[in-house]
Amino acid sequence: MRHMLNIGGIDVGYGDVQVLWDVSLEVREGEFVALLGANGAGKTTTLNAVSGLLRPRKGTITFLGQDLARTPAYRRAELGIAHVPEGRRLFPEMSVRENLEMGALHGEARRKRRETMEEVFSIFPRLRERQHQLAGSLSGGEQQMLAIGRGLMSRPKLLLLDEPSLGLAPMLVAQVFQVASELHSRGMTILLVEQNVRHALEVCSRAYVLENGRIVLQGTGTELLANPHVREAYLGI
Amino acid sequence: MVLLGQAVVSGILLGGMYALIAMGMTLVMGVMKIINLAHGALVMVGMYATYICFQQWGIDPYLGMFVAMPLLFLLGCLIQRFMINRLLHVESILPENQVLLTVGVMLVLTELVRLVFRSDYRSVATAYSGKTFFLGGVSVNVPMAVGFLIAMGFTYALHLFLTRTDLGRSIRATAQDREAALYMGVNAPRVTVITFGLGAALAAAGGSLLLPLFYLWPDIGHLFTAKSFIITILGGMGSMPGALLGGLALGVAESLGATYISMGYKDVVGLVIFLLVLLFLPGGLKSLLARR
Ligand SMILES: Nc1ncnc2c1ncn2[C@@H]1O[C@H](COP(=O)(O)OP(=O)(O)OP(=O)(O)O)[C@@H](O)[C@H]1O
Ligand SMILES: [Mg+2]
Repeated sequence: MRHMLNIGGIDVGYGDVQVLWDVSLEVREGEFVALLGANGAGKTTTLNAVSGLLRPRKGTITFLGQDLARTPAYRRAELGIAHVPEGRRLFPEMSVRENLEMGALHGEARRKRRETMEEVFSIFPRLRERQHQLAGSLSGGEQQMLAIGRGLMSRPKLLLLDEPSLGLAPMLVAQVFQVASELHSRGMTILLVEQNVRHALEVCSRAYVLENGRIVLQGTGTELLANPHVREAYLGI
Repeated sequence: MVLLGQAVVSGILLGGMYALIAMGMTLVMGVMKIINLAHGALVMVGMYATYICFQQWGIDPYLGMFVAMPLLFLLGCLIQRFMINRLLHVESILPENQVLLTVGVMLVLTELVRLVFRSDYRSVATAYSGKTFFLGGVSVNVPMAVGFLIAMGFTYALHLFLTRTDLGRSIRATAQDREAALYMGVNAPRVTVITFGLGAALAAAGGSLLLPLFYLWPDIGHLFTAKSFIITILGGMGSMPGALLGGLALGVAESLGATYISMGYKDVVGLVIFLLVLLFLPGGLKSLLARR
C-alpha cells in the first residue's frame, strides 16, 4: 500500500510550551488509523500540524510523498486533506447548504460541487431536509453530520476526524462510528482522533496511543484491545 | 405633521447613505475583529477623489465615485497588506494595538490631504444641487433621493456578492471562524486584504454620494468615523442588516434633532443615542429583533 501521510519525528508547541515530542505516525492508502489519548495528550495538536495551522519545530510531514513544510494551511485542502475539527467549528450564521459549499472551494471539488452534495445528502438525509436552515440552529448530532459532510465536500484523499463523537448521545455516537466505517469500506483513508477508545479500536485497522505528547504504543485494533496497559488506563478493566 | 414627515423622509434618505459607509466598517470589523478608526478618513479621501474628478475634469460625482471606489479599494488593500497584516505576525502585538495602527493611518491620511488641499472648505455645485421635487406634500431634495437610491443599489449588490459568490461566502466564513475557513482552504490572509479594500471602496461610495450635500474639508473624516461607529454599535456589531437599520435610525434621529431641537445639535443627537444604546441595549437593534 502507498504511503498517504507520513509524520516523521515532529516536535510541536505553542509559544514556549512544547506539546509534542518526536511524534511519528503513518497512514497508508485505504487505512483507518486511530490516534487515541487522554485530555491534553496532544491529539488535536497533531492534527493541526497536519492541516498546517501549527508548524513543527523539528521533523517532517509528508503527504503523498510531498513535503508539506512550505505548504500554507489554506493549500492543504486542495491537496486532499479534509479536517473535520474538534467541536465541529461550523459557520453558524451560514445555512447548511452554504456550509457544504464552503467545503468545496477548489479544483475538482468545486466543479463537482452539486454531485458531491447529492452524495453527502444521501449519506445524511437529514441535511437535505435542513439545507436552508442556519448551521447554528441545528442539534448537536446534525451539526456533527454537517461537519463531516462539509469535510467530504472537498472529495478528500485523507479525512481527519477529531473527536466526532464528543458530546453526542450514545445512539448518535454509534451512528457516527458507523458512518466512519462505511466511508472506510468505500475506500476512504481516515485518521480518527478519539477518547472513546473501545469504539475506536473496534472499527480501526491500526491505532497509536499518545500520552503527554509522546507516542507510547501502536498496533492493530485487536492487539491494543488486548494490551494490558490499554485495558487498565483506557478501558477501565 | 408635514414637518415631521419632511424630517423622517430626509432622515431615511441620508441614513441610507450613512448605512453604506457603516457596512464598510462592519465588513472589516467582522473579519479583523477590530474597529477601523481610519474608516472616516477613507470616506474623506474618497470624497476628495470624487471632488478632484469634478473640479479638474467636470466629472459628475455620481460618475466620479466609480473612479474613487477602485482607487480606495487599492488603498485599502495596501493598508491591510503592508501594515495591518504585518502586525499579525508579531506575537507581542495584541489585537488592541492594531486599532492604534488604524489611528495612525487616520492621522497620516488626514494630514497628507491637508498638506495638498489645506483646511479650506470645498463643495461641488451641480445643476441638481438645490433641486427638489414633491412627494405627497413632502419636498425631497434631488441629490438626497439619488444618493439614497444608489446606496440601496450598492447594498443589494453587496448582499448578492456576500451570499452568492465563493469569495463573498469566504469573507463571511472567515469572519465567523477564521481557523475553520483555513481548514476549508480559504486563503485567509488574502481575504482580509480584499475585505479591507472592499470596506474602503464602500467608504468611498458613501462619501461620494454625500459630496453634493456636505462641505468637504480634511477633518470631515472624524465625523464619519463617529457615525459609522455609532451605527455599528446601534446595529449590533458585525451584522449587515443591523448596519442598514442602524444607518436609517441614525439618519432619522439626526434629522429629527435638527428639525425639533436645532441644526447645530444634529451630531450631538447621534452621540446621545450612542450612549443610550450602550447603556440600555448593548446588543444593538439586532438583539431587539432576536428577543422576539
Ligand atoms: N492554543 C494553545 N495555546 C497553548 N497551549 C495549548 C493550545 N492548545 C492546546 N494547548 C495545550 O497543548 C496540550 C495538548 O492539547 P491538545 O488540544 O492537542 O490535546 P488533545 O489531546 O486534543 O486533548 P482533548 O482530548 O481534550 O481535545 C494541552 O496541554 C493544552 O493545554
Ligand atoms: Mg483535542
